[in-house]
Amino acid sequence: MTPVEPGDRLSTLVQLRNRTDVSLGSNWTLFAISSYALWALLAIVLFTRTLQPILSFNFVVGLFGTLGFVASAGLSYFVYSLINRHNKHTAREQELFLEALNRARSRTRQDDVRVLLPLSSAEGEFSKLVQKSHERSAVLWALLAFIPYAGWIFLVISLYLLSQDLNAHEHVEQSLLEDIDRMLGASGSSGLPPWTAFQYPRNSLGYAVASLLTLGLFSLFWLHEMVRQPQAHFGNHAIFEPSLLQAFPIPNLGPGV
Amino acid sequence: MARTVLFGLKRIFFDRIFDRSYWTWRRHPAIIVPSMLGTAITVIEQSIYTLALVVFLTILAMRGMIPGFLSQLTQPGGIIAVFQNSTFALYLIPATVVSILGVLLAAIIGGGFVYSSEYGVYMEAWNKDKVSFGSIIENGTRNWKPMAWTIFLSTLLTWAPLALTIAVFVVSAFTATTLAGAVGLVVSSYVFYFGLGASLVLALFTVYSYPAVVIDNVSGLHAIKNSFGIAGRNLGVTLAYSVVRLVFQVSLALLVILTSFIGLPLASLSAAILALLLTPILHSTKTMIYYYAGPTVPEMPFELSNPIWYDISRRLPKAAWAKVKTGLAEGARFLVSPKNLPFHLLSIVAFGGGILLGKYVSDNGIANYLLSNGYVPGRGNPLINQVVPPALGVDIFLNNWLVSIATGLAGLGFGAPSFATILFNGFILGVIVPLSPNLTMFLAAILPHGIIEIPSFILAGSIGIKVGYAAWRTKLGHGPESNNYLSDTLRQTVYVVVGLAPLFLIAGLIEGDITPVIMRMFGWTF
Repeated sequence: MTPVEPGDRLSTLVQLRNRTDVSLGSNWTLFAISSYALWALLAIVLFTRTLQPILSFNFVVGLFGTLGFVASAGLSYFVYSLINRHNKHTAREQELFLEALNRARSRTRQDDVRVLLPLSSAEGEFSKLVQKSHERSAVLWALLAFIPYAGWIFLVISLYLLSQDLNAHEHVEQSLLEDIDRMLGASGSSGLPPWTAFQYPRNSLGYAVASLLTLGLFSLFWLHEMVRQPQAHFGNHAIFEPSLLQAFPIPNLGPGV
Repeated sequence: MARTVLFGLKRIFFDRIFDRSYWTWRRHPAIIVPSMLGTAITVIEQSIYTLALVVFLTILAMRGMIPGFLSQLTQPGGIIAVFQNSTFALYLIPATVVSILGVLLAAIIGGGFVYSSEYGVYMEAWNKDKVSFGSIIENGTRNWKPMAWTIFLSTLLTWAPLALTIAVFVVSAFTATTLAGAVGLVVSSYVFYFGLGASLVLALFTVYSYPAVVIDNVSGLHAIKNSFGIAGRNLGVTLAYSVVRLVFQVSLALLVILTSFIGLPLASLSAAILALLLTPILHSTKTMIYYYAGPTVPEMPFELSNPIWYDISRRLPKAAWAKVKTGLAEGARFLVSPKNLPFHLLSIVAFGGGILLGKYVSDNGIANYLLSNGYVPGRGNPLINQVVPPALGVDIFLNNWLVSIATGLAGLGFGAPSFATILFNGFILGVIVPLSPNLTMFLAAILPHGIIEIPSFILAGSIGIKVGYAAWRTKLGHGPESNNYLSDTLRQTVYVVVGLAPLFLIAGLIEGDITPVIMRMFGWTF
């Protein structure tokens, strides 16, 4: 376990980015495809009784079911990794902004209205960020996605929630960064470097409906998107976090806001 | 210091607690011991009714009543008929009453000790650097009475709706010949679902009753009330815990069924995963959810841990092997120490006595009954042909190993359960002796694997009797010396039974793959 100790907490939190904002291989989607194919195949084989003359009912159920379970275990771990990554990212980010705002507050003179205004606004946005960030249980959703057949519905729900969370997260984070940037500008420090603006939210509901209408097939594409899309968001963090660290050095060791 | 709330929000993170529970389990392997003791309670319960069964069958054999008893028992409605037969009822009713009362007492009193120890140890493991074997005993003895009372009340309250609806259904079934009875049967079959639903909802709200005993130092209704309060205020995380637990168990059960269709017996592996890995981690998670839900406890801070899967697949096997090696060395020391000779002898006496009793009972009725009902001497279990070879050996290994763990640790119940379990194992062996066509064929079926397996079981029984002796010493002595002796013996017991794993693995692989070949060579058919 790596607890985030006091001291140069901000620096530690920035360094932990390498462990929270990780990239996931798209290969994991193969488990989802295999799981989908095997359980679908089992249903078709049982319904049409195709293999009954050659193999017994129990053997067919046992063989496809066991292979399906193995594939579902991979899918389950994939779902766990996606949600866990989001959780770790948001948890670290909350600690990071909390520390930065605490430092900003402690170094701002009580009569410096030009800085206090954007700082208060940033604190308000941070409060929103905390309230809108749901740390969903990766263990729970991974296990629900593991259930044969019904798991696919849980998979769609978990992807919907994850997409919504990411939308809300990016939206509030952008407002927060703008406030911090204004605050830094007002204090005479160099602002944050330009980051890719969050332009439009993902259509989570559309993805969910498409997944249900295609009997889960579209969710395979959605899974791929959920691997890829956060990478751009993590890229933004790689841009602004080092500047945040420079802007808020350890208290009593350097110039502040 | 960690913050208590963030902008008025006090959050309980299921994953953070689950994650840390895993790492606590890895850092303090001793926390598995109370969970192992839980399986030992099952052995204690089994030993009560198996002992009653052995005594009952022996009495019947002495009076030449076994054939009549078995033929009446196997008739339709035979179970009720043997109870109504005054000749059998004279022995059967006392044996049944003693068994039921014994099992209930063992479940409540033993459960009180085990759960008190278990949840107390989790709290220590989270907050301290080291968990000693002594603290397992201390935690068990400290709160066993309030815990036993809480178990009793909580079980009664949770399952009363279901039990009542089942009782109504059964009574209606007996009176279904009348119109009122038939209507009652139909109505009660629907009411059953309400009973089930009510019990499941109550189970959700009483889930923290046992941790409440340890954390809040309360018992009975007070613990149940606290559990209701915490579960009600933290319904999301409580539901998450309950669903995770349910899905883990159902998935494992489903996997066992599916793999059994293709000749892969995984029941014992599933039981081992549940007992040694999932139960301690899930119970620890439950305890810490309750702990963090406390109003004065700060929110769990953000911390990063290494991926669990990487640890399970790479580091855990090495750590487990290190423990097994320590266990082997401890087992060897236990075996050769002259001080342990009385325990070895008692275990051998139990096993040998069991064989003699089993043979006597078999000679006096059971063997004849089985032969007259189609058992062919010299014919082995045909299921052996339908199983993928190494899987059966591994399944036998895990089953025997888990039984030996439970046998050893059940000795904490003052030695008697270990003695009874070994006696019953011998009894079963004794029952099958007269069913073999000749001694050579019997030895061909037993010796190849039994030469390793039987001494290993006897050793598990021996260490169980020793820990029972240590428990008696503590009970009668009350001194720090006897307490230390008990905790040292418990530590030795755990290592000895862990160290038996390689022996049971070898024996299991022989039993699954080599013994059938040898049996065929000596005339057995499958």
